[in-house]
Amino acid sequence: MITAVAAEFLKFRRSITARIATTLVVAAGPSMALGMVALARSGAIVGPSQDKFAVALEGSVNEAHLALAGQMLTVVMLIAAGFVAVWIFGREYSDRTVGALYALPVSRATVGWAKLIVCGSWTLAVVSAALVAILAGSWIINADGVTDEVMAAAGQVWIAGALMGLLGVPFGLIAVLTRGYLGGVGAIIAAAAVGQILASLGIGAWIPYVAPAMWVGAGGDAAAVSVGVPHLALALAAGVLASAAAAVAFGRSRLS
Amino acid sequence: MTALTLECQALRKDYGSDHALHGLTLSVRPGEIHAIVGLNGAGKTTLMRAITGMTSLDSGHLAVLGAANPGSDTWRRVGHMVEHPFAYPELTARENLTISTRLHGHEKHDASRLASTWLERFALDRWADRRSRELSLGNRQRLGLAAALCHHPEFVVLDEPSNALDPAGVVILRDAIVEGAAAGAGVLVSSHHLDEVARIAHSISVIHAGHVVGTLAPGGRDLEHAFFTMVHDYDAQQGGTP
Repeated sequence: MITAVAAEFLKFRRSITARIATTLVVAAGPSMALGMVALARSGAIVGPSQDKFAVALEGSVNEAHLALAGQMLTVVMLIAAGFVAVWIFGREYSDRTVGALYALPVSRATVGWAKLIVCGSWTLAVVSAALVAILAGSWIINADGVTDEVMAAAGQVWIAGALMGLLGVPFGLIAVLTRGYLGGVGAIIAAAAVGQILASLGIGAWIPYVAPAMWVGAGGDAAAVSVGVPHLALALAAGVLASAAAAVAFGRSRLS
Repeated sequence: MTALTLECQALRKDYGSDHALHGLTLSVRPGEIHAIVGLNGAGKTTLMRAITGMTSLDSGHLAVLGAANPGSDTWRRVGHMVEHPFAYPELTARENLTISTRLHGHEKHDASRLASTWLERFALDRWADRRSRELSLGNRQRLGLAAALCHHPEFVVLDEPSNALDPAGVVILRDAIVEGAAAGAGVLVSSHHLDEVARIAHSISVIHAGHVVGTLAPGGRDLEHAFFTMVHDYDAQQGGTP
């Protein structure tokens, strides 16, 4: 298993997908949240555009920043982790190197689990790094200090981001079943679009791809309080099971 | 009695109404270079895919190094290049070869040493630290062949290994195969180049319509004529071209 993980990690580390996805989660998302709060609080936004920035104006500066950053992180993590999983599980089919993984003493089942370990490790690492970036942004624009409320909100952001990242990993299963990138990419776009629409309407607490985003306020305060531990536990269970299915499917796949 | 390196008996694999393998029987002994030749679609690649576990069989008996259900102990002793070389584009030639050797069960230090040796052997040392996406098609083929051979397998499966190779690469490949066989490895190699396989093979099987329709004598004259005669005679017996 160690050899398989080392091989998968090296391939992933060298990929353009890893660099883009990591930058998107750790730098682009937190920077946008910071910029939107600063812009909204500067008074420069007037007229109908103010409605678009309403969430950045609610509560204290730190609360507004964390709320916005959390909502953005849930979207970004789903897309970024989805692309990472599709690349990790689908790349051998697309670049036709999959044949080299047969007839090895390290089984394809082991390689499948190694891929999952790399996906999961990357997800936890970047969501943690993103939270550090978000808190650094909070510290930069700090008006209220990093209070217990801010830390609690930060914990909520981390959980929601990690859950959405975990839910991105199952798109690797689509990549295995369709033997390439395109099927997985299509599924990511569909899930992100439908999930955001349902979350913004406050619908779908029991839908795994919607619950974490609703929980951090994507559908408003009323929808957020409708999401509890059972809904999040369902999202966690769905993510774990579907991610494991990706690893198992990779191990069992044949070329014909 | 020495166990066979490869034993295939009455292998069948259908894709719908197409009989990719139609009762194919063939064996490879330790130290034997067994070439299989045939037209496109004859079943050569399907056979190699079945041997390496890439595809399942509908029926028949297949044993690799004596194992009907090969596990890690068996696959550790097998090297193959079927269809596409082990050449991840984002990794350097050295990294590709080191990973391949580690996946064949060698420790990190050992894998690194073997990678250096075989990069030199296939004249890839000049490009060792270039990413394989930057290599020419022929050098990627050399890299894949080095990956198939550098862990000193007891059974080697090579599908059209001389594709894209320049004359110097063909000589390197030929020497590596002959040396491996001399050390006791059984080699199954497919090729369209009859003259090339005639130089090194101990036995040549002609595959047509999913099974072995005859053998060619490696030292025989005008192998191309003999090959086409065998194929056409088979088709005539079957009442037309398949």
